[in-house]
Amino acid sequence: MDALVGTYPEAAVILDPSLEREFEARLADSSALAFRVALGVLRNRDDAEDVAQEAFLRAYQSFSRLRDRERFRAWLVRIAWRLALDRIRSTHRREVRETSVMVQEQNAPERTVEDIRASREFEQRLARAMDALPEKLRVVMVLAAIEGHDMREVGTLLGISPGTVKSRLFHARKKLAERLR
Amino acid sequence: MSCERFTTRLLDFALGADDSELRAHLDECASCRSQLETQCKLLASIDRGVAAMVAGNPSGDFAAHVRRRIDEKAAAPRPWFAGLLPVSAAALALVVLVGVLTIGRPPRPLQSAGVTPRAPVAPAEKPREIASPRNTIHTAAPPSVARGPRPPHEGQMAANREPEVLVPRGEMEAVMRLFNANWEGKADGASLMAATIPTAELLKPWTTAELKIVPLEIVPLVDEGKPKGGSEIR
Repeated sequence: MDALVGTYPEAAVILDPSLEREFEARLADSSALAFRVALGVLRNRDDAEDVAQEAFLRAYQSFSRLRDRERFRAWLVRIAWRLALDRIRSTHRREVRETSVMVQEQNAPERTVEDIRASREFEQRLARAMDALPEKLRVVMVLAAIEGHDMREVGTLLGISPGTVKSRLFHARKKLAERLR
Repeated sequence: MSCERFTTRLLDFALGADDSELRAHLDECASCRSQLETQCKLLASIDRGVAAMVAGNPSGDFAAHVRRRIDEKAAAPRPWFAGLLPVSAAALALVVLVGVLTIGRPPRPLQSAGVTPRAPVAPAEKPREIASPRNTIHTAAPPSVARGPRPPHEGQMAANREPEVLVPRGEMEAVMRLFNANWEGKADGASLMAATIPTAELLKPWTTAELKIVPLEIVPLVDEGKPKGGSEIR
């Protein structure tokens, strides 16, 4: 599956009408998932949207070869994740990534300047701690943080058991807490 | 009770690990309860922070952008080298295969049943001796009578620098006759040996000079009338 993320120029693919309709449905259903996965890595909305669109383009080019269509979301997650990591490595955009929490908290009227500053500092430390996590722990952390995902859903997306998800979440949160306390 | 041994377990407990001993301790220790509360707040902040990182939705025209990219990809001409890549890969694979078959071929046995015999090759120090007689032999053999593949051409043999049969000096012609006759199915040892060619001279047994033995003259050693040796020598 990682081959789909390569830079080799894929041949233009035109799906038959039934596959086109199915792809359209997947696009409407899973665009937020791809976007959020990319956002979890890139922490920049524009980059995340671009990577998510690229992930759908790659998925489209290989859609007819996907044997188990029920695995589309898991497949898409992996494509988006890999593309987002590639984007970071190629552009070194870690420094300019934004944190959506910062913006939200700056707009909160009851927060003082000190609170906002502390919160910003915490967000930056959290971002660094997330980047330092091993990849298999980080992807579990990101997917579990996406709204509506329970351990079974995360396990389905990653092809691992809910017990493994639980164990990885435990270790991921512990590592983050140890770095942030 | 000392709290030190519990401090490292507080985080695991906050993360959900079951620890009955720590639970009992927490009922009695306000300090550890406070630390546990701090840990729980930290974990909650982490969860909120990570959830905020991935919160949000793509833009409203996300699907339209994807569709436009797909259409652009379908309309864009493929790069000129994209079609050549498979051909180049196939050509490279063919070259590698030929190279492996040519270089990596195991050496053939010198002479065995069912295997085409190879021509003997003269030692490298006397190339002159193998030239003229061989030509004579080859022209004498009519091509129509020849059975099986023709003997290797002289140039072909010269190109084969690896000597497979080393022939002593002076015996090259006889060996070549035997080889050609064997190749053409006309091997006849008696007629080959009877041929009146200089080979007979070459194959003559060595002549040696008669060995002359000159008897030694033994002169007894005499010292003041007594022979040396005997019991005096120890």
